[in-house]
Amino acid sequence: MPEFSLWSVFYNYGSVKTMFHYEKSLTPSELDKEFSDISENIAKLGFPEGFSEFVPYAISELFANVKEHSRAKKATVSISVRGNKCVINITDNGIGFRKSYIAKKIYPKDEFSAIEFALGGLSTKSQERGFGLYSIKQLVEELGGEITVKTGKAMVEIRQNKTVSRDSPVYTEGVDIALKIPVKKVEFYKFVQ
Amino acid sequence: METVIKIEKKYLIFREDARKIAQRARKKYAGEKARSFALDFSQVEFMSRSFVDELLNELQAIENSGRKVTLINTNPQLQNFMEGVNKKKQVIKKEMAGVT
Repeated sequence: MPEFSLWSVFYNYGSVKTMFHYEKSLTPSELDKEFSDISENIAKLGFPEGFSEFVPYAISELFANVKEHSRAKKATVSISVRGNKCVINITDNGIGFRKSYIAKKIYPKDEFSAIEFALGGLSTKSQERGFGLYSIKQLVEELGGEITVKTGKAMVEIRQNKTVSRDSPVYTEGVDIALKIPVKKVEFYKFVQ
Repeated sequence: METVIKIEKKYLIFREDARKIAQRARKKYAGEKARSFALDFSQVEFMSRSFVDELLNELQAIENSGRKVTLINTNPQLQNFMEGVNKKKQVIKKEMAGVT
């Protein structure tokens, strides 16, 4: 059973008062069913073309990372939309990017490198390039949004297409990914091949 | 007559979903003479890139074993998405072959 959950949805089409807030703590085995509920609720928000595809796409890729690579026992998912801002935050208490790579015989020198590998599209499933987080990053940049990735003591922020790496003030067990994106039209399919 | 396997999930996000579909297909054709079968995606509304990537791997493996697989009733957007992922896989494959 989820430890906590919160759903609140208010729709007010034609103004900027649209609000949606969702927050839940889940086990990896619950992610599948939860994705259905999230997608169905997000579909009701009437996002612009491309953005309505981007949100479930990003969540699905982040869920897949949690379930398939993190070895986490728990993930926390938070999605909120207020006006034209959408914030997606997914955290897990798994082994983090670096150990995940090492388990697949890929050796980032530290946690910062591991984040760079992940954002650059290096997959843990084999030596070939993966496109989950890489394509999310591309889409967030195209939308003019922000992405923050934390693992262990490392934190990487991408804002206005500039990447800043620094020590995180708080140690992150597993991985914490936050996307802050303006709600607007985007050529989704151009970025996700 | 072609054997049709109906995919019942609406949202396909994990690689294990693709493996389960392939497993169903293999079980289905194991006892049959039919060399071809179809996967019916009419109920499917969403596929993640991870799912598509793995499904393409599984379909290739099935085809390598001499069976023909057709995907039917896939909505046009998902069809485009799958084709895009497939094209990208081929590009990566070529890049990797160039590196090694």
